[in-house]
Amino acid sequence: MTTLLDLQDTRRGDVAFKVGEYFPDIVLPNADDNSAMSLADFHGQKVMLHIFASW
Amino acid sequence: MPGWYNATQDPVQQNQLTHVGLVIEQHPERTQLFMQWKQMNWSFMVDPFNLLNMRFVPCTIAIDEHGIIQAVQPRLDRAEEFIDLFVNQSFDAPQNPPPAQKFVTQAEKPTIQSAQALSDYAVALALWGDETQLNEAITVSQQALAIQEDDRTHFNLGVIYRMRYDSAYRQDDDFSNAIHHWTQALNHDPNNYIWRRRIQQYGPRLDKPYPFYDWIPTAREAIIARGETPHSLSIEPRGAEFAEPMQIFDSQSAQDNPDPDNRIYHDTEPLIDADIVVVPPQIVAGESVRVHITLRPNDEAHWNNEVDDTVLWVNQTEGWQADQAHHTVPNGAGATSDETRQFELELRSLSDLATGQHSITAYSLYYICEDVNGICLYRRQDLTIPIEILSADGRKLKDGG
Repeated sequence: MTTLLDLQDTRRGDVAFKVGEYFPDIVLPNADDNSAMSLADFHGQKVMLHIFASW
Repeated sequence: MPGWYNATQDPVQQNQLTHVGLVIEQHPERTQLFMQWKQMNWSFMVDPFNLLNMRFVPCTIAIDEHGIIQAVQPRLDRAEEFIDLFVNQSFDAPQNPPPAQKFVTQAEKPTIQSAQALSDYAVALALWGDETQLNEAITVSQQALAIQEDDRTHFNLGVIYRMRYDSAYRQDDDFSNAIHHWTQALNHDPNNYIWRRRIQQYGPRLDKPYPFYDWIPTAREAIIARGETPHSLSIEPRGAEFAEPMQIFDSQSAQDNPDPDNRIYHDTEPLIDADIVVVPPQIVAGESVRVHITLRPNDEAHWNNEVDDTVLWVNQTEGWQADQAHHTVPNGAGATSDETRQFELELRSLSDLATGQHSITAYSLYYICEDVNGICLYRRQDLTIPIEILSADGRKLKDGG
């Protein structure tokens, strides 16, 4: 049976985050209004977090 | 990211999934324009300092309803399968959850003068404070560096310098200081892709993986065609940030030196302040640099726009090639103006060039007027571009190799 772990791209292993751990508790400015934003704001929801740049 | 957006529209509309962005860019508002273009309405956080210590982007992470990471870098080519599993699986809350790693981002003055505490405070001032607090952020970050020198503190200080350069409180050396500290960060950790990209954003075309912001004109056209107003940018990308990468250095020859005999009177005061930033400031022979030259009228002067454009001429120097010797910047709007004028050029060193400090000379010609009703003059200002050539061994040492 296929699991989530089977569907990961393992070619780039240089990631500090590990499956099974909490995502770090970080508070950063929201791009829209500079208000404080954190992943805790989405507690209770399944989240796809995309860390990226527009370049 | 648009791939994930397209693959997940149904579960998002059914409230089974939420997308959140975290943008690692010096100017995160550019991402707002990108998102508008791609019609992706995710909330996103901005992290110009790379506080999560990412070593590459993009990176997608699936996080369950309890805040636990369930997958890192799920495969986009199997997105449908992944999303189906993720949204339909129930995840148990951990019985004895480990404490989450915390990142300090609140601007509270540290009581302990440790490098970490000072660096965190400097970042918080820059992230959460207003532009008037960038001076303090720089001072505090310098104090952190004096206690402990590492790649992260150098990178952070570079980000703050560039923030001040882009602010109303800009000081002459801010951009060159940003490049210096980003270069130091990369010297400490040459494998950090984020450190490298921040320098490449302003660097030479031979060292660019791609044009960073060439998508912006296309995005604006598409947004306007939809009848929307493009998200405005307070700092427009320019020059190096648009430039296409190149594989072979392209040097244009046979251009005319506009003042070969040095007959134009020099701006001895000077009425124009010139700032020169070389990216990167140190190279190995055979490599190239991008040079950013900024000209700004001082408080007693303004440009005269009723005559020819401002000119930059790069003198031929043994051991070096310029992409172009002759550059111009068009005049501003109106009869007079006092805007900043910027030239960007590329220089390539020949592979047999000696190690040590080199100077490439150039000069600018411009029409400038003194004071409001003062005299208008045509003046020349000589400029010196400093570049250090390292030995290949020296580079290896700096790269930690």
